[in-house]
Amino acid sequence: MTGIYLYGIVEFPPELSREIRGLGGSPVSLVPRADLAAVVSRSLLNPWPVDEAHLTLHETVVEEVMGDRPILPVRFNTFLRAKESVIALLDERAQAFRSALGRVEGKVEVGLRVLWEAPGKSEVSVDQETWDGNPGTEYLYRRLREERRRAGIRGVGERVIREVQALFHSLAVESWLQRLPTDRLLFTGAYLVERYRVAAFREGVAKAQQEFSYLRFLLTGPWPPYHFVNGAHDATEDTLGA
Amino acid sequence: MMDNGWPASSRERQVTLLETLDRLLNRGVVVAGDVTLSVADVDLIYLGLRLLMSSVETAREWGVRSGVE
Repeated sequence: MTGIYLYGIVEFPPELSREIRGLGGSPVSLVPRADLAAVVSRSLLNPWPVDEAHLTLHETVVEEVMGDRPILPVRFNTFLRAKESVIALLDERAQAFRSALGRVEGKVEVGLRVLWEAPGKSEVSVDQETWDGNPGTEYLYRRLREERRRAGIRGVGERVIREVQALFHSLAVESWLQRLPTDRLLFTGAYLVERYRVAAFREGVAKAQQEFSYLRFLLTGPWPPYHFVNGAHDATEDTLGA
Repeated sequence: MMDNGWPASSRERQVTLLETLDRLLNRGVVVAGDVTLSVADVDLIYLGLRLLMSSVETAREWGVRSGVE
């Protein structure tokens, strides 16, 4: 049984400027509706394997289209039953799609992961006088020490994040940030950057690396604006102005 | 990711793949409702992930939500 695989949402017109092959080798086309269009290809209605080849192909289609115009990238393995379903989707969410396309026009996403060595020891001590030698008490103290240690790390981390973020204030339009997601990762960020300012952003990261030599900065992109196409499902946190 | 000469080494390629994975599976426009096909078996979708990533631990360490946890 075949259906439609969805890669993204774009403004319409124009038509696609060149031939693009999508998943399964099927030609990519547009399903237009008023001033919007869905970027699609015919597909079997089975999830595509989540492997490097298929992820890369999906991403390549999105980036090919993005070379011509703004695109709202759609999540991997999104299928619709028929062309009518695509049109219904475009009708139903037309206003949200138009608004999101305006938001990302002329911009790309840049990814940044910042690694650190979290402070190992805190200056926390538990009042030994109250320790009664009970294993249960010892367990609770151990947990308390660990919680205090983590709180200490978080406090230091938040301060460093604010200092680093301040460097990108003028380089990006919006940002999305996940703070201290793991012990090793200070933060992971996505930045919506004007296309013409990507080089400046890279220079900004190089400068940050010099200034914060104890951190490690990993920059990726430019990406389609995956973090900035949000509806209600995906609250974007703008931290640049913080 | 657009080809601008950034990813080069295998380590960088792995990072790029993890970033791609994170974006394509966790971000982007979500389409759900009557018009979509219900892909019910989420486990099936994520079956390939263990093969995809050289180390799930690496992904976890990097804060990538892989869907395998």
